Amino acid sequence: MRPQRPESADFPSLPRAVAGVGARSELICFDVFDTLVRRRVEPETTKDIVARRFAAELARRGTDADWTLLRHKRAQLETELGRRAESRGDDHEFRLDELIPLWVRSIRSTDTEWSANTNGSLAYRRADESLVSLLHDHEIAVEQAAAMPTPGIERSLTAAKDTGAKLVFVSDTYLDHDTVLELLRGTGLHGWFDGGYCSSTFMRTKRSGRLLKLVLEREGIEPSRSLLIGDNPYSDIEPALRLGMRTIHIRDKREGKRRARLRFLDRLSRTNPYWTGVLCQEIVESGSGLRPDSSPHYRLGLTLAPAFIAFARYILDFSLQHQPGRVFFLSREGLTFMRMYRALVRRLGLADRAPPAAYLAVSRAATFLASIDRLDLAQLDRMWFQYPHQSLSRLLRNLSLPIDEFAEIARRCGFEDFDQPIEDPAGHRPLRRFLANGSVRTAFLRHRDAARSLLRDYLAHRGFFDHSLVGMVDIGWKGSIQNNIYRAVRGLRDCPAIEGIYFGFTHVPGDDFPDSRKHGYIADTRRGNWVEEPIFKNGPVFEMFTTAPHGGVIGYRRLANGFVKPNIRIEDAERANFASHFAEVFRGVDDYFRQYLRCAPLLDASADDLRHHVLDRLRRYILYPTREEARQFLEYSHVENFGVYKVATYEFQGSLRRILFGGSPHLIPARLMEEMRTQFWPEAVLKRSRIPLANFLYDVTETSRAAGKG
Amino acid sequence: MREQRCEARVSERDGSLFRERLLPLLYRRFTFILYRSSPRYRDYVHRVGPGRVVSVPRYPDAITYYLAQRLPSPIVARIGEDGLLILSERLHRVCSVLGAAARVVAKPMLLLLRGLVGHLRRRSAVCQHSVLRAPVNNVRTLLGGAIRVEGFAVQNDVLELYLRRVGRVRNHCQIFVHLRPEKRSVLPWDRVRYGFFCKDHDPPITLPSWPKGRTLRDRTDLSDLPSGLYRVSIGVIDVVTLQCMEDYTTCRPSVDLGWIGIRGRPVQPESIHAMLPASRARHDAGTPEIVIASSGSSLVVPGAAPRPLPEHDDLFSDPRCDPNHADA
Repeated sequence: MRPQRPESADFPSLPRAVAGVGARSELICFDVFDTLVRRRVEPETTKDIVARRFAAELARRGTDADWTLLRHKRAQLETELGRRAESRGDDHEFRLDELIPLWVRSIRSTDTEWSANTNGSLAYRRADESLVSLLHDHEIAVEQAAAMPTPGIERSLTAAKDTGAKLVFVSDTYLDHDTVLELLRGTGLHGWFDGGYCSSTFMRTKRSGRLLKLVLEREGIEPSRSLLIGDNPYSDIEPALRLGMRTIHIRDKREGKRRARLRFLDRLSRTNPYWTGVLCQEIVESGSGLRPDSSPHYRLGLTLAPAFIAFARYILDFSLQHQPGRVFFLSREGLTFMRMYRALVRRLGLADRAPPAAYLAVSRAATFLASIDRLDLAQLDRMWFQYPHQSLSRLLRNLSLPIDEFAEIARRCGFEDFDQPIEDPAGHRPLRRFLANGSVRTAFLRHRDAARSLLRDYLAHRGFFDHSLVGMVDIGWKGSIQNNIYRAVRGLRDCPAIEGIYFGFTHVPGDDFPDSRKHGYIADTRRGNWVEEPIFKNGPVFEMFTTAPHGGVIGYRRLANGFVKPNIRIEDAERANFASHFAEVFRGVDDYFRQYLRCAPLLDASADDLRHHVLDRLRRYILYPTREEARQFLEYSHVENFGVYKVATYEFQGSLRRILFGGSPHLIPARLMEEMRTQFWPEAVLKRSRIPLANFLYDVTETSRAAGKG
Repeated sequence: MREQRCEARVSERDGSLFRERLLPLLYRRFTFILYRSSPRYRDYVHRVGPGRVVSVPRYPDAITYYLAQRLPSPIVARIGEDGLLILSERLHRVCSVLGAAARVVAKPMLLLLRGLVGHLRRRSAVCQHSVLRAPVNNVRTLLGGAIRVEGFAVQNDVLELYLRRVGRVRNHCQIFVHLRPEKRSVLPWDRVRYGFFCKDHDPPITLPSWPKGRTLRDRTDLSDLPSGLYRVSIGVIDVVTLQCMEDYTTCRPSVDLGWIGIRGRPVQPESIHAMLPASRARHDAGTPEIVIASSGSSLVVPGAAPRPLPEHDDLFSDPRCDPNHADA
């Protein structure tokens, strides 16, 4: 029989090739891996992941084992099982369900405790069985997470179906037929096939040609009336041609490039954790669930999402390590992280180990009054320090005190204009008289006690006092709400210790309490690392796109049944934001996270490993935004509802005239730098200015200054 | 149809959505190298430990990854990961050679420049890095782009400030320490209008006594203050212009160190109004210490010579205690 000439095609041209070559075929066989489905990671990487899980499980059971050693043992066993099969007259093949028990036993036999146990007691055998079952299930879960349909394969399958031929899948794999079918179901491709053949079921492989021969025999079709489509020249094309089948050899350079990059990153990540994050990014973004060519707002969501997910992962890692009784996510940014945390816990099967999550409707405005011990400047200074130039009316509003009640006394104390900013509170006589006034203090204490009681009851209803240690999660930045809550409840008998977990944390000396600790993930000023600090230059971007759309908490009310409910208010500007561009950004974050969840079993990098790359990605966005990123930010606004009450917008707020003509010409650079430092996100302003190299020079100057060289 | 288009687009992008642009990548690496050679970075590494330092990729690896994203698919698929790693190593070698060449060229020039500057300043060349470790309490901030607050400590009612001169200071300067009491009633009558005690370093620190790169340990005795909690702000004033050196991050004229507790002397209501002006209760260790590091050992030498306290120290006419100059 003269061998057929092999056809070649890439994926875009495959439908045409199938329609042409498959026209006279009665049977079309598809290879599974790298033809119907792609793996997000290399096949060997899935085995690495299972080996790591094995090592982790052994560690939990009290046996330390290096995962690379486990991996090595597995490779040995695979060869050994293949040889045994050959000695039985089968092909070099093995099955997952015979491999895993041997793998577990191979480690147990080196465990001295086990060996001392006379060939394994019943308890040990049961432990082994549970481990075998766990590893088997994990490997299948990893394979399922790794599999994704080859982009555009449906069109090729449609073309194949249109020829009227019977479609079967044929695979050289150690997974059994049902598992492969399940993988295809997960990718939505199972419905196309009339049957399937796996080498592990028949112990015959495509490479030897015996599996294809068996397929043709079972289907009762002549080799010349059948077509095989596959990517591997040795195990797909050559054997099929030997049998006289027609073939289409898929050569996909793009996929080859992706896989070369994956292997490259895999090697680099073993020496530098930075590349672990890049590898995770490659894996997550290899799916087709993202729309990179959508609007710039959507793309911003895709830019921010890895940082948010890494933070959710950090919360999970931190909680598993410290085991707080409950993790409270503070409104409003906490809602996004709580959803991510819960989804991660479910996806990773950690529901029995991870602490439960709860949402706390709190805000600085709703907790500040309750946190104040007495009405004096030392106490108010916590707020005044952050928001100088307070007026009396603004002060009372920040304190959640009714201005009408205090207006008369304020006039008597010498206040004429309640909206006049107070520049020097210590030297401001009317303010000092007002704060020292007995009626004011009495009224203040009445309001404070009421606010404190409501807050404490609300916290009690949320289970805050049920544990000795609780976690508290927020975006950042100074941990004021945590401070306020701690101040309001400290001294109570059931007051728990608090571990604050923050996306970025700016440490304020004087806000440290022994039972209320704070940890910054992406940035923490206590580490003193300049590389982390750029994220504080554009804090609002992280706030805006994690904030819950339900509005701000302005206080609490007691219901008739005694329960305490938060009072919520949403500003019109916020409502408008959520209805417009914000929705697109949130969609980008959601899509990315969905994609991440699909791949979660493949991504066993810890939050600490992810941080390096995530930080670099955020630095790129903040220090060197593209013109589009810098411009789009002008369309956003942020509502400040404590300290200052305004809608912040992000255009250039300064005077070009002052920079150019405000003094001696040789001091223009100095004035420019001075002006830039007062801007919100100066890098975006520079980018919009279109001055070449402006961002680079600004970065050099700022880095030099920060490093102490300027 | 739309889904198909999206699929095709993802396929064309080879799975990586965000392809790094070369220039921002190089810029970030450049500024990182600038930062990595600074004492601040060394302090950071010392603080968090080598295992927890934020890692950045090697230049050649980053460029190779950039190429792996940008080069045509057939080339990358053909050279594979081994080819990429070899490319990375070769780039590394090229970068190393270029770096070494740059250093060879730059070193004599830098030495010449340094010698010239040293000659002009009439100073012998000493190591620029102080080995004095400031206490770790994270108030690190830069004042006027020239003086870095390294840390502080309060022990036995003595406030120790660690300030390092890292840039050019035009004139002699004076350190001020403001202590805002929790109970304002403890303020003497002449301080009530300001709301804080003032503990300025007197006499001013002269520039020759505080060369660039060295850490000054300034001690302020607080034992004469009434016991209680105080919020401490510190800062530096240019004694010629009387301008405060602004905190680089907050643009404030002073740095808030937070609350400290002082055992001090017990508060006696009858004596409060009889207290002397705060600056008369001068810290007794008026001499700042400047630490010079040479070949790994530290040597503490006296900085400015001690001077007697001024006989007439009228705070009302003292501009340094004017709230407009501090963060009252």
